[in-house]
Amino acid sequence: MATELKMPQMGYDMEEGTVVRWLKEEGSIVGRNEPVAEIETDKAVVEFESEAEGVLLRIVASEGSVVPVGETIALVGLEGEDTNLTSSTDLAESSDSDSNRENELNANSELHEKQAPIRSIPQEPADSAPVTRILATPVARRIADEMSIDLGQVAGSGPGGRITKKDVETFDPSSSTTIQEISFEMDPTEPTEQSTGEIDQTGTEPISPSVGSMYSGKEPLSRMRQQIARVTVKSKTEKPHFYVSAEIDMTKAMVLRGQVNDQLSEEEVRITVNDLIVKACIESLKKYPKFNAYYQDDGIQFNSRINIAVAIAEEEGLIVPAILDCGGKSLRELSQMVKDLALRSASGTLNNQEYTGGTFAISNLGMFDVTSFLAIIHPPQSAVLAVGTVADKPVVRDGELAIAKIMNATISADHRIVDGVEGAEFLIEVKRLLENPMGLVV
Amino acid sequence: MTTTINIEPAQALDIYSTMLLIRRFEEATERLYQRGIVRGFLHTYIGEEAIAVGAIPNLREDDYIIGHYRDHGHALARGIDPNKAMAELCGKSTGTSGGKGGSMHIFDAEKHFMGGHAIVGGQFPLAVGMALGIKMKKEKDSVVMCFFGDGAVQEGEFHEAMNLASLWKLPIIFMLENNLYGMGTEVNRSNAGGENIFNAAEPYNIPAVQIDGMDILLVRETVIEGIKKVREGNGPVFIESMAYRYHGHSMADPTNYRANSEVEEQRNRDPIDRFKALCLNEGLLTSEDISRIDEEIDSKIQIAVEFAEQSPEPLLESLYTNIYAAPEA
Amino acid sequence: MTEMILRDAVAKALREALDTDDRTFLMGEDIGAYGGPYAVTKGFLEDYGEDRIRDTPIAEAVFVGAGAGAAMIGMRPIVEIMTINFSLVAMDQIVNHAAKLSYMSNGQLSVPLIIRTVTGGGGQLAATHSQSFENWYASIPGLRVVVPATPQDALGLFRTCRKDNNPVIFAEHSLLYRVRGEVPEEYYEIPLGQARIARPGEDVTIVSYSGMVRVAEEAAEKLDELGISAEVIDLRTLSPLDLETVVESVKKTNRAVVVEETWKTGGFSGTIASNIQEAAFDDLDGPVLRINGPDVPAPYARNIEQAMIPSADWVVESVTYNFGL
Repeated sequence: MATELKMPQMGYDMEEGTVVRWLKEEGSIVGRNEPVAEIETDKAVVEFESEAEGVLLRIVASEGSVVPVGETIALVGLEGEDTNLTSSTDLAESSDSDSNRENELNANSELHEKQAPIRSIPQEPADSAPVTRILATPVARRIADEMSIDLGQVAGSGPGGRITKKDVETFDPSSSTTIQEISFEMDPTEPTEQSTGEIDQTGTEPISPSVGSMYSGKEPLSRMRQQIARVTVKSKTEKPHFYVSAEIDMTKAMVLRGQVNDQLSEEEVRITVNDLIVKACIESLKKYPKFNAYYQDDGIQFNSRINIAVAIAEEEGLIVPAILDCGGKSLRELSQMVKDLALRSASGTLNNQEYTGGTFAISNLGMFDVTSFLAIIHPPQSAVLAVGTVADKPVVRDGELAIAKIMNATISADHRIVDGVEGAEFLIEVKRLLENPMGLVV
Repeated sequence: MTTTINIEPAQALDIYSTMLLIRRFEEATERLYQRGIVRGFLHTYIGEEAIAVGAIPNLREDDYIIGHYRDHGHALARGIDPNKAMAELCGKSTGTSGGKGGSMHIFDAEKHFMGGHAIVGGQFPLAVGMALGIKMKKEKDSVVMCFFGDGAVQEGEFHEAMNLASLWKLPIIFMLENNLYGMGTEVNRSNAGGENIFNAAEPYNIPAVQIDGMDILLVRETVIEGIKKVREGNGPVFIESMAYRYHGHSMADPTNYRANSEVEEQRNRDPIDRFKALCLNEGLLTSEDISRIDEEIDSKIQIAVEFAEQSPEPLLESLYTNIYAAPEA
Repeated sequence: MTEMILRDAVAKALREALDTDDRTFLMGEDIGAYGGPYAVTKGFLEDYGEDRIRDTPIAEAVFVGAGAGAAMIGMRPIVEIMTINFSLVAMDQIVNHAAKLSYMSNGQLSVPLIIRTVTGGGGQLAATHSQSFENWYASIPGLRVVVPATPQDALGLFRTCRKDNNPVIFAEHSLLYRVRGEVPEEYYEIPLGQARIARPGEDVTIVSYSGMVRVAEEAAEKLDELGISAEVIDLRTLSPLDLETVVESVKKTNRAVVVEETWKTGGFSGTIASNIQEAAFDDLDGPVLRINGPDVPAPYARNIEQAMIPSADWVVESVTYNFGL
């Protein structure tokens, strides 16, 4: 049988070669190891020797042809021998190598499996809005899952607001910190000295202590922030706000407050300016109940109870829980309720109704020496009173110049259910009560 | 030929057979490489057979051999089974290292054949260590024969090894195989001392000679003397054998750095042809002997190739075996 | 139990080897006449003679390779590379030869060579003399890497290395030679690939080795004052690596931090951290933290050199911040 001369492997990375020139003709005699052709690899042209001696029976690859390594380029043998390529052997060889390669690949993948499989990290679905992403550590998630806790209800104390194991383990579902409506203003009652005006410290990503970046880059939104954003946009979109302002002379009210507090014993709760404002609003609401109602397509819905919402600053942001059913409460009782609300808010033990049941809100930025501001109504309420600082101002009394303690109050109201005149009337009533404060105390 | 001929016909037979075995083995591996069966790097010893065959058969069983990656000739000269050597080159489980070493890493612990090393000059410190071990054991006057090329002499480890071997009087025969080319770089382009490298031994106080490495009998004579000297325990010797490799540095080598005329000229020095002519002349061998040996060797090589081709590939598990030696009990 | 310093524990281990095994001999720069650059082999030349205590020329490649060569034919040499910084000169012999001879010969040859070397910075020796490469060697198949931090561990681990039959990088930390510790009087060995719980704890796992073990312990003390209970693990060997002990601990504490002296990029702490998160992902209460030296060459001046070596404070800050503790 004729010997097939094949394109040689000359260099470990060679894949094909070019037959440049045949040095012998078909029919000529070739000796063993005699050069019969010149072959070009990517490095150089080299001489190709015949491995058999005999007659060069047939040149299979002509000059200039590019041939893959291992394929036949010529046949050498005895004269008269069959010069058909034993294509079966060719194929056998190449398919051998193919199947070898396949086996190798299969074997390799087996090998991979024998090694420890790496759990892949699932991609976040493309349409998941970033707003709904909850940061939680793997073990926190696992425990939440095991205990059927909704992570959406849990506040995170880790870097970036991440929920940690501790947060899940100490989570008490009854003291839910999810809030349906949140006011973004601050109404700090006197005893609470919490973060006033502190920048949201939960926003920054966990960074090593030695590196800090101030006010550059992006601060992730905490859940509370996200909710505030939603609520305020909703309010402003739905309710046509209008505003009425008045200046209230608080001189007598301050004096009265002092007198009342002097009479109190050590343990009793002190009356604050805010308490007086709350009481005044309650009384005015009784007279103008539309400010304790809300708009519906088929009518104005009145609230049966007066629940005054007061803003309390927490570490994570503002919450605005309400003191419930204030209508029949005395000033002292109201004062007590507000204190209690603040305390229970701090320990996270407010109930849902307190969180969501406000019917009218009061916002007080008086601690900041601001004269006035316009508040945003919190749905489903219809009005909010914004009061500024109490400051000494010159006034004319009985034709003479005097100094009075003046505080600006501005009512924001939903124009769908009340008009400017009604707003003015409500506000003037509040003013009247505060300027003649005896009525508040009895 | 400058040597006196002091061998018996039987020895002539051995020498001729072994050189031819190496020659044919190397030719067969080249063909296997061209067919894609031997892969990676393949460095053949064609033209240099006289050095391995002149030197190694004079060693004892308890002596050690270590060298470089052009190691098939040395392995065969040491008596390693050509079947196993061929199988190793073909990456089969029946190879000398179960297919895990390849052409450049032939090992046979039992025959004290300590590799086959691919890092140029990497064998020097190991050779020094083995010689040191021999000396410290104080059991036998074994020697270490360390083969290296003209390229290895440029590595720092060569000088470190010569220094330490001389300093501690270690039993090493430094066998330089100078084929005038370090891969594609001619020796005068990389050795400041020029091509007569045996001079490099002088600063280390190591006795050195330079001989025609294609004169088998001269190599043999010189090495016999060198071994004797080293066994005396006074330190190493250095033998530079001038030779020529007829094929490229490796199979990938296009040999465009040597003139074809040079190669042709060197063919006149072919050690096997020369020895054959000498033996026929001197009546050490007859032409029938030659023919017979030719056929025997061809047959041996064919068997080796078949053995290698038909042997199985290594099991996948062997990927993980022998990374670490087992601890002592 | 006796008390001894780490240096003496190593010296004891070496003497034991020389006394009980004829095949053992020592090679290295200045280990003989000089008494050893860190005084470990003080008195050895007098006691054992120059045949077995060999001062070498300054030629790491040849004498480390010679150690491998001698080991290859049945001797049990112990080679000293003065500092791990100089091991770079011998790296080819260590990585390409000693580590691979068993594999390439398919088990025909073995290399029972112990390479003792000194690692770590903090001594104002500047950039080329203050590095720690044991983590590089730990990723080479065929090598063992042993990093004792206590006298007891040094002695116990060395005994095991002598029986191991594989090339070992035995890295002693330059600042730990004077560390005191209790060592059992009776014979004991410590297996390779077995970490030690240096201090048990509940809230966070601190993984460390070599010079950083005492940093980890100091950090644990400080965390304790903050009401955080830290479990300190001393790996003792990097190859083989005892991942099991580490993962078990992290599954218990849910929080892990790895402390390592060398540069953060490419540090072994990365391998360890990655292995932890693979094995204990659902038990993690935060990322696996890595405290490494910054990616800088070591400077000479004391203040800035100290600033690049991990301290207990770094660990405490990182732990409290990242885990919200």
